[in-house]
Amino acid sequence: MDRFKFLTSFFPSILILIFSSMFIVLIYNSLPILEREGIRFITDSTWRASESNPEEEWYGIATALWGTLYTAILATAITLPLSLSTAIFICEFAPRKVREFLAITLDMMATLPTVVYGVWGMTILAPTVRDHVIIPIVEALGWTLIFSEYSPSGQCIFTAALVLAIMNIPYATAILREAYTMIPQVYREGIISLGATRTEAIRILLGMIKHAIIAAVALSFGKAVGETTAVTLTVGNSFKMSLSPFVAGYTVTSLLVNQFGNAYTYKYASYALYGAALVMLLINTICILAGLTLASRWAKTYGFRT
Amino acid sequence: MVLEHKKARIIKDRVFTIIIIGLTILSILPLFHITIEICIRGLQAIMQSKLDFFFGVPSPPGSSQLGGIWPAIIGSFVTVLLASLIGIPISLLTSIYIIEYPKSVLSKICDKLALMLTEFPTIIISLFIYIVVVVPMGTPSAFAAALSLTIIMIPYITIQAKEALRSIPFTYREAAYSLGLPRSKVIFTIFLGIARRGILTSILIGVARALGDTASILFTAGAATYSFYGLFGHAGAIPLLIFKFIQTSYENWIQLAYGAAFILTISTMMIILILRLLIKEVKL
Amino acid sequence: MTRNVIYAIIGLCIIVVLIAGGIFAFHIIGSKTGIEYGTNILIKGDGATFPEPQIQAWINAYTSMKKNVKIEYAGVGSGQGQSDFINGIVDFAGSDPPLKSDKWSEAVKKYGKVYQFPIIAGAVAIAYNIPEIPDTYHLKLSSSVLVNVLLGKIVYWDDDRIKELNPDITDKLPHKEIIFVHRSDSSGTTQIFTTYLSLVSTEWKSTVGSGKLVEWPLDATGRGLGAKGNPGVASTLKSTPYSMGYVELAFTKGLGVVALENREGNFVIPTEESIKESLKQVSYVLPSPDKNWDEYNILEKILNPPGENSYPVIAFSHFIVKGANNYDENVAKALADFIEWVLTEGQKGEYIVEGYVALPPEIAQIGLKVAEELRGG
Repeated sequence: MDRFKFLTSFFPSILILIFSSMFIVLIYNSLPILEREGIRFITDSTWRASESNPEEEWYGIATALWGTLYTAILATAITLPLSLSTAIFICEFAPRKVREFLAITLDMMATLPTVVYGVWGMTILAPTVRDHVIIPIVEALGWTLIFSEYSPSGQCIFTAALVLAIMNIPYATAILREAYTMIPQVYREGIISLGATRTEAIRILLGMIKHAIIAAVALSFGKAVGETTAVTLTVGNSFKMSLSPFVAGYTVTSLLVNQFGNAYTYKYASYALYGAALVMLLINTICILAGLTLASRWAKTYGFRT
Repeated sequence: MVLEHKKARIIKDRVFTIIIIGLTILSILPLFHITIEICIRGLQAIMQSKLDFFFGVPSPPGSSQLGGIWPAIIGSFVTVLLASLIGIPISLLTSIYIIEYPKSVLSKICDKLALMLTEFPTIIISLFIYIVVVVPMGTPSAFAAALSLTIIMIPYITIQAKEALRSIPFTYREAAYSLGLPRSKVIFTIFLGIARRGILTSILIGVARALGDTASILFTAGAATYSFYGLFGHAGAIPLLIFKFIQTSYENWIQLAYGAAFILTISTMMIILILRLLIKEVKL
Repeated sequence: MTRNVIYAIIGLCIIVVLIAGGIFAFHIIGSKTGIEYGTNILIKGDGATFPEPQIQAWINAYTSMKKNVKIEYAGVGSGQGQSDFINGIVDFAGSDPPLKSDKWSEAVKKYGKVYQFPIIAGAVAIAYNIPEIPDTYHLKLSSSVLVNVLLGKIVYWDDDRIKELNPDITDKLPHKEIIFVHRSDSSGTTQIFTTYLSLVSTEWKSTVGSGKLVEWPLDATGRGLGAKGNPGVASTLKSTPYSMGYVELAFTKGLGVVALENREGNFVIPTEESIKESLKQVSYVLPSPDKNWDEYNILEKILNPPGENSYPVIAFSHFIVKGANNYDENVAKALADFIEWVLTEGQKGEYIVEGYVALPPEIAQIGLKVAEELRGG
């Protein structure tokens, strides 16, 4: 091993060090609450802080977990068709100038600070969603269980999911685009020569990149789970677990933002928050890992380097 | 019969095409709406304070004046600068290692790790730095915030720099090595020079990310509304200011938040435009 | 050719940014908003959002007179303020309720001496957002109706019990569910409000109780919303029709304010007069600032006082500071000067923000003693 390699290997190690330290610190700081509450930490939805009597404290993050999962699922469901269409449009239909324009637009969407998305979501999107989406739906379908209640400020799981979906579009589109363009031309030529219309060709080609679609879904889901600022400003921050997407709720990330400040006033609150962060991190890591592995494994199938 | 079937297929084709185009427009519409709205409201706010917006401090909440946000601007500037100074060398050397020794276990792990860290929940970074830096120091600080931002920047710069280095044609590499220089010289004088556009791109992406990130400095930067308190004192930051002020009910502070959001958005967009001029394909 | 132009532009931008940075750095070194190391003093505090507009106004006025002192105050909630104070993160805390006994002992053990004193008086207003009700009218609520709403027993705005109290606008009350906005963070304002509710209703006391963070029965029904800080509650109220919530009086701009039933049975809105009236009526002896105020149950003594025109939910907001030897000498002196100014000049009409009431002189005295202690050591 030459000296250069030895010296520079220090730097990648920093990366690994940081990553593992984060996990270790989180685990270490969650142990007290996990010891105290066990599995009920995840399944209980009571969040009771007590100043006078530490024994009375009980922290269950079920509400926050429900909110995180619900927003992530909704967001991914909205992102998928949108990013799929955009990817197809860029690959199949767009003339070169339009393609460049779209590329720049998507880059901007990806780099736009999340706090700006959050501000737009909170001040502009939430009232609009409330007036033009929630109220009509609740009036028409209010008798069903799902649409029976709604958040009067427009800040709810649905709004948060909408903002998350918009934020994830560039990433999902990039994955899908890359996969789509990597399909060897042979297949395309073959399908067209059989007489398929463009639509039919697209549908068959899409079938070939199923792995990429799943990867895009996994990645969008993972990112949606981990997003903080935009969600905190749009989700409503209320300890409520409900089937209705129009009700304000909590996600693990917004719980952390709101409760961390006063966590040290109470005995176990800070551990509970670290525990919640750990759970969220695990979900995020598993999804991202799954997504990335799928994407690279697919690329190998076609013989292209990752 | 065959003709009708063919017509049906053609109609389906048209409808599908329209749906695709429609959904695509829907996908990019929000960005335009956001930009326009933020620009309008932000410009309104800046016009109220004019130059004072960039050099003044926030007026008391509830007052009729806006004041300015210079503590946040200087805070952002210092923290991002420090983060870059620490983060760029680490990232570049990491990407060099990954390119030069792709077979080693360290490389393979770091490659995957860098990709994963780009999608990492940034609030966890804040929690981590809080325990590891803020609590021992006793106070949140610009230094702690810079460390958080470094962790944010490293994956982005690493990945983009890696792509830049990888795109150096093999012939160049062969020629460079055949000159008989030690490896370090080859890399630092020749490769970095050839890939300089890509490397610059990577730095710009890292900076753009660090400028806009809120969650990672939420618990590490502290509260500095009225001044800049040095490297080891509380620091303000533009995204933090936006996040805090927009949630208040004080009209003048909300206006300040819009103005700050406008500045942030414009800076980010300018960086992207510069990026696009430098390089064609950007991995975000 | 174009590439060179682009490089030139990029180079120019970088130079501009660096120059701008240089200018800002120059600003740091001693211009009107700068801080010079060595001669400038920074005082850090955080805590309650209840008095925040007043404190920031004081800071603004004071620091523009005293150029070498910088004061930072962040409204993060009384709970966090107290916790940050005990952990040594801030020099002083702003808190609506005084430290609870166990926290007080902890602080005294760490700092030797701990001082708590009122800095301003204010009221917790019940604000609402009902578009149908005209701005000139103040919705009347009795204490029992209020408690019943918060326990979930009264669900709609046009409930008979509310109509009964407000005969003039019975036709305007809409058939909409009452949405309640409360604090999501650890809040002194919550403690004041829930202590009041516990005083007027034994049912509330036994089911919910009082505290900085409580389990609001309305959350489970879906009609409760949480918001961060007094400003957060106010902004949520403004954007949520048919909602009501509790905020400091200063935050009620643009919202309706409830005329709450006081001990005498009159419906009073929180105004400077009604708050002053309450302050007059309360007869108590506030203890010396270095004592454990929790033992004296101050909150319960000043809430729901007698008096025809008294507003029932008034409160003081306090500063909590450490014993003099815990501070750097300069900081102690600067802090003492600031406290003295706040309690003398700062209580004058020109510096009082709308929605707050100056302390009666005998109460302001308490804090002035602390300023002396900080100077003398």
